[in-house]
Amino acid sequence: MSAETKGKVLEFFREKSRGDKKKYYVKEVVKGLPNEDRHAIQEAVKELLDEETLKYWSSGSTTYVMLAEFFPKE
Amino acid sequence: MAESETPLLDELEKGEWPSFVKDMKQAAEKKPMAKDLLRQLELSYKEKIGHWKHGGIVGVKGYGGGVIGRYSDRPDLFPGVAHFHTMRVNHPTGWFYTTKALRTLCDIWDKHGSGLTNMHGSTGDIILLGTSTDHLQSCFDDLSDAGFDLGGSGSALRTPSACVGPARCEWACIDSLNICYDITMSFQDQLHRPMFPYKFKIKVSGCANDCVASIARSDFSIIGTWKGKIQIDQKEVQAYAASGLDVQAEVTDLCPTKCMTWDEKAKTLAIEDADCTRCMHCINMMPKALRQGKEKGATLLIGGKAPIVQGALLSTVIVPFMKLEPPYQELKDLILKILDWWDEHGKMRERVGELINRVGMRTFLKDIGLKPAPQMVKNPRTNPYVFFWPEEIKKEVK
Repeated sequence: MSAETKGKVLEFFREKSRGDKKKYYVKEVVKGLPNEDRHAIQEAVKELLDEETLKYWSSGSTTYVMLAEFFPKE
Repeated sequence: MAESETPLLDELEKGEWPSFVKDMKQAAEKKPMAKDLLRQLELSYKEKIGHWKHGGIVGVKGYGGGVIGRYSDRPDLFPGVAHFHTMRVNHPTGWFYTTKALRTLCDIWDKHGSGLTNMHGSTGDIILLGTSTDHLQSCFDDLSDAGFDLGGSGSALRTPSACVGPARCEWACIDSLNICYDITMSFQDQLHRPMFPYKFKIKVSGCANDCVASIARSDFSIIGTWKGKIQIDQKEVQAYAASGLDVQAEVTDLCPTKCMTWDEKAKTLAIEDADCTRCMHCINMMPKALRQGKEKGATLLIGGKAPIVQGALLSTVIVPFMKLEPPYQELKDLILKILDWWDEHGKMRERVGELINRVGMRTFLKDIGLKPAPQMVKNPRTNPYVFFWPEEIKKEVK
């Protein structure tokens, strides 16, 4: 996974999170970056999750990913 | 006498059946959290509306699942359940515990949570009900020290489960316990780091009796089976008949493929093994007289699910027979291939069975590299070209 892919994934979230919608399926990220390899995107998302730039949000049955700064405060 | 705080819940304690209210009241004697849980539930019964908010937090550091966030929408009235998160803990395969392990588990949950548990959830996990966000990590650390791990939740591989298998059952054709454990250990990333379109469940049954109902409750079912002839002990068959079993009515007439014949005069049972679907009915009826064939393995099926988003589906056979021996590489390679295919083609919140229904079994088999087999078809179809591609048919015509 390249730093370039990671940058593109982060850019996707920053761009898309300008509106009301903050939570995205990993599949939406893959769809939003059609020129990138699906597995590379998933690895990039995992790395960004490890760095806590992104955070998982789950309803219990479905999991989304979002920018940590938008994760709801309790 | 003081008036009860929960008159509506008290009604549920009446009658002959055990009541969860009684259990919650017992927990409430020790835990203010359980007391507030009772009071909030009473309010829900009174107002006929739920007072929970779901979702958000997913787990502990490094994990994307295993915790299901739950919050009260009336923390002002019920501060004890302002947070009431559920922790899903990976159960020991086959649900075998020592009493020491159970006591340890309960001690940890008394320390960090409400003390209320659900043994077990429908996927099989140990469900620990009700803790606060600040206890999640420390609870997980204590569970880890005791040898437990979190299970799956969200869009991930859910905790694999298996029947008790060869540990207690003479009919197990495969080591369901070891297969389940091996799969759990091999697919840790898929279990703890949700990346799939939706949930994916794997269940292992030792034989066609399918005690974990894998055919109906899992996306990928592994069911023990055999090859070759059913072993018959005619003397024992005769003993069953002499003891009052109506072999014709209760065994051969109920055989789904009618592959058995019972000679009433000679008192002998014959089986046309090539027609047998290995459903186990006859073996269940006469366990002393009939034994499974000697070559053991498993049938692999795909696509079972309960009715969420779309209706319920039963699994379909994709591999009629696979020999399963450690390290189960062929099985794990196939699972990985299917997961990758589903991940690529599945829509959001689309289970693998729904995807196969949408694109067709023919496409699935071609993409995965499996050959169509008669065992994949329940009944002969009116259209024999179901597994053929149009270009193949043209080629044959030439």
